[in-house]
Parts: sequence; C-alpha cells; structure tokens
Amino acid sequence: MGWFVRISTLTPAEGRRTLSITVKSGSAGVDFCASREQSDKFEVAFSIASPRLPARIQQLLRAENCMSTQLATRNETIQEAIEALVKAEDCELPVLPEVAAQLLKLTSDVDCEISDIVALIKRDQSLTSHLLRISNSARYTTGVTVSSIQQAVARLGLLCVREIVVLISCQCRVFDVPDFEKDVRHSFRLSLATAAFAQEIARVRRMNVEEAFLGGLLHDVGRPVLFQALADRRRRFGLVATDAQICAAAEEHRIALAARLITSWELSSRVVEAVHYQLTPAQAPACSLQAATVNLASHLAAEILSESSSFAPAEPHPMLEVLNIYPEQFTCILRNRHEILEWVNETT
Amino acid sequence: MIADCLQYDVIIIGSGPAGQNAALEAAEHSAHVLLIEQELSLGGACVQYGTIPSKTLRETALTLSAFQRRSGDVYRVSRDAELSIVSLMKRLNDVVHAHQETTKVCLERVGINRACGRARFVSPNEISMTRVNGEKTVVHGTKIIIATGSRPRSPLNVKLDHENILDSDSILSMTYLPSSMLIVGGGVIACEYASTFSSLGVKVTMLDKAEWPLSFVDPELTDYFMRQLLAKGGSFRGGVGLKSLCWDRVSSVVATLESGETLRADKAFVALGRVANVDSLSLENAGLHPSERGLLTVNDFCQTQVPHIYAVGDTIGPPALASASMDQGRRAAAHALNGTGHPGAGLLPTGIYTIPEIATIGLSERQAADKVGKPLVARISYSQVARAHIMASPDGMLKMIADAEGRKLLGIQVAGDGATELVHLGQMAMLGELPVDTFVHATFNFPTMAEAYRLAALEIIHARELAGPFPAKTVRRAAAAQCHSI
Repeated sequence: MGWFVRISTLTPAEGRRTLSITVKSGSAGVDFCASREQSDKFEVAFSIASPRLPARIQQLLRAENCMSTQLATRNETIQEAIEALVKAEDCELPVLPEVAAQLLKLTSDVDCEISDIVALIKRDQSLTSHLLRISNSARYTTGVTVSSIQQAVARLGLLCVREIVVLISCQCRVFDVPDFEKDVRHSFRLSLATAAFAQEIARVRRMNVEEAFLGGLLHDVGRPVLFQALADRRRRFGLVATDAQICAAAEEHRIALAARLITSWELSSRVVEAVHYQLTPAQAPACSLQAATVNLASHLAAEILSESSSFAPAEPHPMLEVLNIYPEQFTCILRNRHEILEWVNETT
Repeated sequence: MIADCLQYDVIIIGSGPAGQNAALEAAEHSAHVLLIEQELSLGGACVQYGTIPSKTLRETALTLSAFQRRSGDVYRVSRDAELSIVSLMKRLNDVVHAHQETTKVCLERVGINRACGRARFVSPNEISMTRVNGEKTVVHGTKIIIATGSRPRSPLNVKLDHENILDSDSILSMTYLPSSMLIVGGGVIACEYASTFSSLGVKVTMLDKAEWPLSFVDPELTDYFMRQLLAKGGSFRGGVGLKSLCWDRVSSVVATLESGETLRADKAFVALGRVANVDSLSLENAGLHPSERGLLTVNDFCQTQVPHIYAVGDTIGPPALASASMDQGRRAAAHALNGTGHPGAGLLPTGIYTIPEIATIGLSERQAADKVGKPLVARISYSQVARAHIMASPDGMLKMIADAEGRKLLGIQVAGDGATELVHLGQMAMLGELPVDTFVHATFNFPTMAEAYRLAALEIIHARELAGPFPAKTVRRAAAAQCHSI
C-alpha cells in the first residue's frame, strides 16, 4: 500500500511557480517522479511507498499552493508503472552478478590484460551499454560518437577505457530479480547469440559488422530493465501485477524502451533504428536492412537456444528475401552456430 | 520479374557495366533478351561496392580538400568532429538511385526481360536460375554472355573479418573514419583508397611487395602519386612481404612483416587484386574451363571456346576497367547476333581516381622507346597553364609522347586535377590519327586545360625542328605561346 500522487499546477507563464520537487528514485520512499509540461499546466506524478504521506511532501504541496491535488491511497497499476518508466529520464541497467564479480576481479588486478576486459564487456549488453554511454558523455567525448567497443578503445585509449570500466564496476547495480532470473538470463543469452548472428549476417552482406553486433546485443535491452524495474515496484511499492502480467508487459514494451535507452546513450541513429524496427523492418525509414538483420539474427539465436531445434526450418525465413541471402550464404551464416552456442554458454 | 517465356535469343548473366551494355546492344538487334542478376538491384559490384560508391566518397573528399584552396581562403573549411563515412556518403543513395533509375528506364524501353537469381549452366544452352527462396527455373538461350564480374581476392595469410580487416567490398561499410589505416597492395584500388582516406585525415600506410605503387604506369606518374601521398601524411613501404595480418582483439590491426617488424593501425584494407566470379556457374556443364588464374579465355570478339557463349568484363581479366567492360559487352552482343563487329578499339584510356587523378592513353615513354627507338617527349607542368592557376591546381603534369619524327602522337600521360577528362582530348586525336601539329593549329577556349596540349605540341615541334634545318621560327613561337598562356 502506498500513495500515488498527481499534482497539477499552472505553468510559470500563467503566474504560478513551477513545482520544484527534488526527489531521487529510492530516496525518502519516493519511487519515481515523472513530469510533463503541457501548454497550460505543469504536471508532476510520483508514488510513495509509505502508508502516510511524508510531512516533507505535505509541506511542499502546501507551499506550492497547487491548483489541484489528487491524492489517492491506492496501488499503482502496471500501466501507470510502464508510463512512468517510459517517461523517466534515467533507467537503471543492472549487470548480472557473475559478470559484476568478474569485472571487479579484473579491474582490481593491476596486471590484468585489457583484452580480457574488452572481451568481457563485448559479451555483456549491460557493460557494453555502460561503456558506450560513458564514452559518449561530456567527460570523455572526443567529439566523435562512439558506436563500438573497438572504436571506444581506439579513440579514448586503453587507460581511459580502464578508468571507465572501474567506474562501471563501482557504480553498477547487480540484477536482483528472483522471480524473473530465468527470463533475464534468457534475455542476455538471446542478446549475445543475436549479436553473434547479426555479425555473421553483416559479414556475408558486407554491411557494417560493428553496428550489426551492437544492434543485436542491445535489441532486447529493454526487457531486463523492465523486469528489474517492475519487480522493484511490486516488491517495494505495491504494484499490482502477476508474474505473467509483468512478462507480458516486458514483451510489449521492450522494444520501445530499448530504442529510448539507446537514443539516450547517444549511440548511432542506425543502431536505434535497427532496434526500433526489428519486428517491422520494412517500416524503417533508412536502415531497413539493419533492422532485418536484427530480426533474422534474433530468430536464429532463438533457434539455437531452443534445445529442440533441429535447424531445418520448413519455410525460409522472410528476412532472407529482404536481405537477399541465398541458400549457400545462409549455410555460411549457420556454419559457426556451434561456436556461437559455445560462446554464449561460456559467457552466461 | 521473369517473363513467361523460357526461351531467349540472348541470356546475359550479370548486370554490371558489361552486362548492361551487352543487353542494350542485343536489344538493338531486336533480340529477345534476358538479363539475370543475383542482387536485388541492377549494376553489380560497380554500383553496390565499387566504382559508384568509392567515387562518391572520393568526390566529397576532393571537394573538401579543394574548397578552401579554390576560394583563396575566403572560406575556411573546418572538419566536423562528427565527420563519419556515413555523413560523407549522404549523397550516395541519390547517386545510386539516379544511376539505377536511368539504367532501368533504358533496359525497359528496349524491352529487356530481367530476372533476379543465381545462374548456373545445366547444359551449353540451358541456365538454371535459383531464387533466394530456393525456387529454380531453367531457361534456354541461343547465345549466352557471361558478365558476372569479379570479387576481391582473399590472400591465404590474412583472415578478412570485414570488421577490422576489410576488402574493397566491405571497406565502405565502415561508419566512422579510423585514425589510422594499413593498406595492403599497391595497385589502382589500393592507391585510390589510400589517396581518399589520407585526404580525409586518416594516417595511411601502404604496404606492397613491389618497390613502387602503380608499377604499370609511367614512373613519373608514380612519383607524382607518391609526392601527393606523402604531402597528406601517408607513406608507402615498398618491397615488403606480409607474414600475417590480424586483429589484436582489442583495438588494433597488427601487420607482421617478413622482416619481423610489426605495424599497427585501427583498420586494415586489403587490396591484392580480384578474382573472376565464375566458380558458381558450373562452367563444366557448358564445356568451358577457366584458366589457372580463374579467367575465361576469349578471342577478339569475346567469344569463348564454345562458340555461342561469350565472356566479358572482369571474367576475362585485364584491363578490368568499367569502360573496357562496356565496350566488350557491346562487342560480344553484336558479334553474337550478326557475326560481325569491330574487334575492339585497342586504345583504351586508363583513369586512376586518386586525389588528384592520373590518366593515360596509348604508349608510355618506355613502351614508345621499345617501339620507335627515340620518341620525342614533352612535359608540361600544370603551373604553365593559366587555367590550372585559376583552379588553384598548379601541381600536375601532362606528358605527350610522339614518334621519333615528332609528328605522330603515341601516348598521353596526365597527372593532376581533371586528368581523367583531359586525357580524352589526346584519345580523340589518336583515334583520328591527327598529327601533333593539330594541337598548335586548333583554337581552344581560353583559359582551359587544353592549353597544356598546345604547349606540349609546341615542345615536340620545337624538339623536332631543333633536329631539323630551320629551328629558330618554332623556338620563338613556342616561347610566345608560353608567355601568352601564363
């Protein structure tokens, strides 16, 4: 049981002061805060886990002399939770516990090989995302958008990358989703295998291999983020949702959230488009082949991760025609499937 | 896309420059033509990976490097920090689209049938086409023209991953400019990309077994290329053997030379020649056998040893130029349909799209010496031509080679801005068998680069007359022309 609060006030242009609620996720029991500025009003919504509205918030509401305040003592719905997540400026992208442990071990060893760190980062969508996000941040940017791990190392230098990796290992939250651990692990395995297949497809079609890998690795990044966030809300703030509803919500919103996250990390617009249109490549404005690559790669990844698969599909995958991949080229793409599976198993 | 009919007068495999021209020529002869292409779009490697994309990137690099110079520093060009290959090639889609639309319209206008699929011979007159979805169709052709082009050669000691170690089919898939690049090879493609990337600020190091790049062209042109490369911060390491080339799994490509020395760069580009795309055609079913080098052997009319099958373009080897391929396509189709046709002009210009470019026609100085003993040679620097100064491109040269009597034009070598266009003036003179003196008597627009021809011709006449009884008049005329030009 908690509070779900929505406050509306007039914008400053109408002579009213803007609400200035400085809340951090997880602090003072405030879970999230989303704001929206419309033409005539400013709206803030947040939820609080505490059964009583904290005195600080009450004072704030009085001080702001809000035009209208709706307070409800009801639980948050999954739709509201999703809306809040999609609007939130920052979404946490935790790392798998064993990956975090490996990273800490590597970064605390002064003699460790940078190639080991790079290999670990490349195998993990969270670490890759964090590295690229930080590489493109104001502190590290060289003015060139960094779109791949090798580009980051080449542009920033090994020492700088090591510094960023230490930063990641110190700051990153570890996944804590007991109810969805299997799903999160599957998403990571799927992403890794998709990245590997996307790389093979790009090689055959002479498309950019680095971006194909990245698109594959991040194509499902929205799903684990949603699992973590929704599981947190259910556990701490009374979100009313069953496991099945959370899984369905993660499936429904994973692509939109992934695209939003990748955009916010300032990665290449082609990777964003490939991820965003992965289910509908024909609708992609400029990168339909990249989106089709993600589509086909994720299909192949799902096939090799499914133990029952014999890899002898009755019907050719529709993306083969979009990408103009002939049977012998397809055979070439599949040639490394055992190595890909081995690589995925080693990593996760 | 394929018509209902399964019987054609001419089947052409491949829609690159050679295939397109063969198809158009065949249609001109009212033949029922089928053009088979394995890619979704027309044009072959020329449009997808080769000539069109690389020249689009080059044009952008050329414009960037020339803009500030030509505006007399009125405008200063600062390179965008976000400069990437993708942004440099924004025009590419428009260029490719325009090219493909024009081609498509031309082919449709003359009623050429097209099919998308992979072709292979079932018998000397039957071709099986396999679509992406595995569907097969067998078509019959009275005449068949093989125009399947070529692909980059993959050396055994290099594992191309098309990510960090690239070839000419994958080099333009790079989305960002690396800070450094190793280029393996010293041929035309290697030099063109070395020139383009170094113009864009990439630190280029060329490695080749040969002592000098572009070993088939006049040494003076090679020197010119080398000077330009060095001026842009590039370098050429000749006479080196490459032991291995691999990715260090972190951020660099490492080249190990046979001497044991190692070189590192962000990316590597391997350009060690091309191989013909004939291995998937099941040529044995047609009674054809490629040479040891994987090429098809043809006569002057591009006819193979199986008389109704022709081969054109890169499938028959050098010169492997788009211009030559077009001519071969036309010749093959004409000969296939009426048994006649010219056996080739025998005078093909060579254009090397470095920055600035290089072009040749006819004999080089050495070839001319072998043929006529002591040819007369004139060298004109671009700095002697007013138009070159106006264009802020005074660095360049035109070399004219005439026979020992100084009358017959044997060859033209040009290095500098506009060389690939300028060479055509010499080509037309040679085709028309015009004497060297024509360039002195003809009136050219002024100021134009054609003035270089006049100056070169005057030098040849001067040399000719110095050897003759009345030199003074010509010497004065040559000096006057040069003063006028400058």
